[in-house]
Amino acid sequence: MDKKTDLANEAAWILRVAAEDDSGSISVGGFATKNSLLETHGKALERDAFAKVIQLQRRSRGLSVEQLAENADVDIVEVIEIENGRFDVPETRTVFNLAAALQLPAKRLLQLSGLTQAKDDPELRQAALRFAARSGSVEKLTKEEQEALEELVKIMAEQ
Amino acid sequence: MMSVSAPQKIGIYDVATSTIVDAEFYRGVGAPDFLEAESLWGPYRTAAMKRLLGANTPPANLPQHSHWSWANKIGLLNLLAYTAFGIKVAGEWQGLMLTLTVGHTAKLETGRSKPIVYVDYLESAPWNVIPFCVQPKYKAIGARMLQAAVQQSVDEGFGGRVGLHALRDAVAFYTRSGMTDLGIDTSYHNLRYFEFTESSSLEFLAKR
Repeated sequence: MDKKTDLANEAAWILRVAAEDDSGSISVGGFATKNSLLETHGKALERDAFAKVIQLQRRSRGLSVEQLAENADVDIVEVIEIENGRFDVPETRTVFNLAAALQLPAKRLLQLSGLTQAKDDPELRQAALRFAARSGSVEKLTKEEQEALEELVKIMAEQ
Repeated sequence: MMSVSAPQKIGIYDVATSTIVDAEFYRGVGAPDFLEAESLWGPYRTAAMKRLLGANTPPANLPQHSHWSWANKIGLLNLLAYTAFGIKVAGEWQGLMLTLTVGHTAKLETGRSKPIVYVDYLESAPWNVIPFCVQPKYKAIGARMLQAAVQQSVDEGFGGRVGLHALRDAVAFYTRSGMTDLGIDTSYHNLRYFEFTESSSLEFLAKR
């Protein structure tokens, strides 16, 4: 191929690539994928409550982890990680889908997940603390867990 | 670290004028270049994020970026196994990439256990990425960088095999480029792992 043809091909390639390029992200790697403005507001407390509310709400609705993953279109591994609190910050889409599948208010669930900050929301924080302290991780929901769950869900529903 | 070679002249698509403009492609970018890029990219991202939050953007639409420890990364630039690439237009960094040629092997069956070029970091300037920007400045940065990674893999004798962990927002780009999605890697920040096989990488290169 002579140089002229090479340059013409090069130009054609750029134009084709540019036409396909939707200016979306190309980001790879990174030690933390959290949003830097929001990450400082993610509190361990809410995270713990987040993990537990997902697990208890799922169990109270009689769903297996597999069923929840399928209903919410979320990777089963992700659901397991979330329920066990072994995650960094979940993806926003994941939280939205879990909220829909479990019929929980998405906005409050996002706050608990640490993705958005609970602006001056002592009530939610206190409820989350009480809830996290009261709930265990046994197979069947105890009466206390059921009550704890209901109380938190009620407060989450209050806007 | 690779010695800095003279930049190669390449073309990049300028959105404002709808023309191909001259860009410089660097192999062997150093720590000061990374810091120079971040000194402009950081404030731009912060301003963009404030604008998006102020406009009540749904959380699902807020962008993600490779928020990393610069101190750690800059240490890596001094290691021989790392190569840093950069694209500059009109004196400003438009994209940076860090690749690794040791320590990673292919996960896909076709090339399993064979060495790959692992893209450890890749990012485009935020003014080229929606929704950090409203109107992007330049296009084709991602394709250029991926091309360089595949070329490096060919040059190293790795047959074009490339692996990387993509951030959520970037999944579409790598899928479109023909890389295989191996799903969420729970051992690495729950990011999705993508791989180019020998044949899919050559297909990607042949597109030009």
